[in-house]
Amino acid sequence: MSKLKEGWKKFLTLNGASMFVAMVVIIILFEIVMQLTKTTSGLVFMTPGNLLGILRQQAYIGIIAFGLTLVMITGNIDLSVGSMLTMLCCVCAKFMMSTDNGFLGFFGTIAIGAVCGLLNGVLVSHVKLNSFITTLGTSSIFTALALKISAGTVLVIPNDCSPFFQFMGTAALGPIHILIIWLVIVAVVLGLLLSRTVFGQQLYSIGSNPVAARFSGIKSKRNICISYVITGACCGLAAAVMMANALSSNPQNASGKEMEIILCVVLGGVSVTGGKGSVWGTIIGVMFYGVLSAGFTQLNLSIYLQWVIMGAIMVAALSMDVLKEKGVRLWKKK
Amino acid sequence: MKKLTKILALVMAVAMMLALASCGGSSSSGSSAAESGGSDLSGKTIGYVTITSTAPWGGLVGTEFERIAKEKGATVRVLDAQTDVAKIAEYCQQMIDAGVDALAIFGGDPNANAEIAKAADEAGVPMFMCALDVAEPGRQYVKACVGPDQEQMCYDIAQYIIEANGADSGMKVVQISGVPFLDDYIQREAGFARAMTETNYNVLEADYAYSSRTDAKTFMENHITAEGDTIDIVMGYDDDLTMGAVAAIDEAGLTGSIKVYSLTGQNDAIQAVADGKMELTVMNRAGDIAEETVNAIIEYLSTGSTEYYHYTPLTFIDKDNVQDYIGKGEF
Repeated sequence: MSKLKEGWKKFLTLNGASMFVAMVVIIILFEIVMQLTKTTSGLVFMTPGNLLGILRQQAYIGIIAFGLTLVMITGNIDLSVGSMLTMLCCVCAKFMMSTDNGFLGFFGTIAIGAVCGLLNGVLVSHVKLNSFITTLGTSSIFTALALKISAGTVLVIPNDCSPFFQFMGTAALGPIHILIIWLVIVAVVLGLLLSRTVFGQQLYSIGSNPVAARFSGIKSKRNICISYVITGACCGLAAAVMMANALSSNPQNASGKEMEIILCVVLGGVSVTGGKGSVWGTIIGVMFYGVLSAGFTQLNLSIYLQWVIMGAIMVAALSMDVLKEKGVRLWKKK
Repeated sequence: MKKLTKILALVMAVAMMLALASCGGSSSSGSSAAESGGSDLSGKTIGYVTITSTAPWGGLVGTEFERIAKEKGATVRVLDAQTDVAKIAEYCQQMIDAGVDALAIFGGDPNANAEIAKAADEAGVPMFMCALDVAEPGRQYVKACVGPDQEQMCYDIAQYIIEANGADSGMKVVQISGVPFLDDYIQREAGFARAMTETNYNVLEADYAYSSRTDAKTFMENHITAEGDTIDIVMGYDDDLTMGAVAAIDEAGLTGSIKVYSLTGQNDAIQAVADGKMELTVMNRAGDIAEETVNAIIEYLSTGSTEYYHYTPLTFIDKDNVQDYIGKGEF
């Protein structure tokens, strides 16, 4: 029993643990409400199919959120991810419409994403511009480029385009959709990069204490720049798989997504001031957000009610994490 | 290295300014009558304020308006409020202060637009509404409203649905909409809701996918998970979003059992009607609205008057006439 208690305590100290508990509670709550309101028999929300579906729906946001985790751990931010995603979707659609070369469409988009990330990285790390303002500025550049590339209209990739390209966004391994596989691959690669490599540890040092990191001989500029390049490449991958799946883009395709992505990262326990967080925590953040969104739609709540409840849950969940960090015990033993 | 850094910073600052200008700021383009060959608007400066230039259909109204007005010899100034309704008034005032010869507005809040219309009228600037009417108090100040009646359009689509499925068949309807605070979507939903009061249909709350087909698909997947095969109808308020729902229905193997109705008339939606994946799309051509707005401006500037309502045609495309329209959408 004491071992179980100890294990529970240890679990709660983990990054994003309280969010995980909150997510499980919310999944159960959704199931109860649906059982009470729906006429169908059996489980509705807690089915593996639904949970896998949510994970698949969150793949695009998740892939970018994992990259952004690296940037935010260094104490910086990237507000351009939404418009970068939009622009890269337009680039990918344009590649496919003009060449029908799946290889170019897929990997070319990732490469251009990395270049966009490099632009942000150089400006923030080498030119030493404030990351908030810089990425807000580059966000406008990417929006303008998306508009230019798409000529302000819908870009539709033909249904009979390269099978390789379509495979990358629509294939499935049994019940596991390829989008989930992409999500897992990126999570594992970046998770290991962050937790098991010198580079990863250096990112934490830069975020915790940039001055100390510099005096310790850590190449802060290079590492920050690389974290932005990785985020850009993640945007490229998300754009490529999104296009492979949806076969359509427009210049407002993902506008506003940056807030969702940042929210997922913060919900996962990444500190906005840097130095704290993990990719594993971000996975929880991404899933938590996905569960809420899917649950609200499935319960057929009005958009306004959704916003209110979503906001309240977010504030409550984040407050719990902050209080825990400050050592405040929510429930005192009698 | 420091020098390089400074140069890089300078280059980036300039690039950002240029991008900001092209994205959120104004674009001014003029062409002389000699260059364009047109003469109807020669020497005139026309202001165009849009709620968005990046939404595909709304953006196309703007690009077509600019192109046609330029062809007629006008200088066109465009300001994009980037979905910020409050900015419409600010930008219109800028246009009025700049002394444009006529002002066209696409989108925004009909009540706020009424105030702008009054200000424009007092300044002697004739104002024209594209695709969206102004609120009642402002109509005396607006010279013309061009486009389909958005509310009536969706009322008519609903009537089409009722005719096809019966008013008392208790259909369960999923609604996929765009931006919750944009008035054209509000009016479309209102028109649909007005017709639905005459039925016993179970109309679910609208989902707002903004401009994301992927999000629309996600919404539809979630409805299919929760409601299963009890969904009968999907009403989409924009073809691009509706196509996301069509993809979700297709993947769930429910094509045919869920009937999909939409509007805009974009090419892949027309193809979906031909393929039996959609029942109806209504072609609402952005180019028609743009052209008719320019015509209304020309008529007003040359004669001093024009009709208030300039209705643009709507084409209902279903299985009976779809072959005539394949590939004939604007995008």
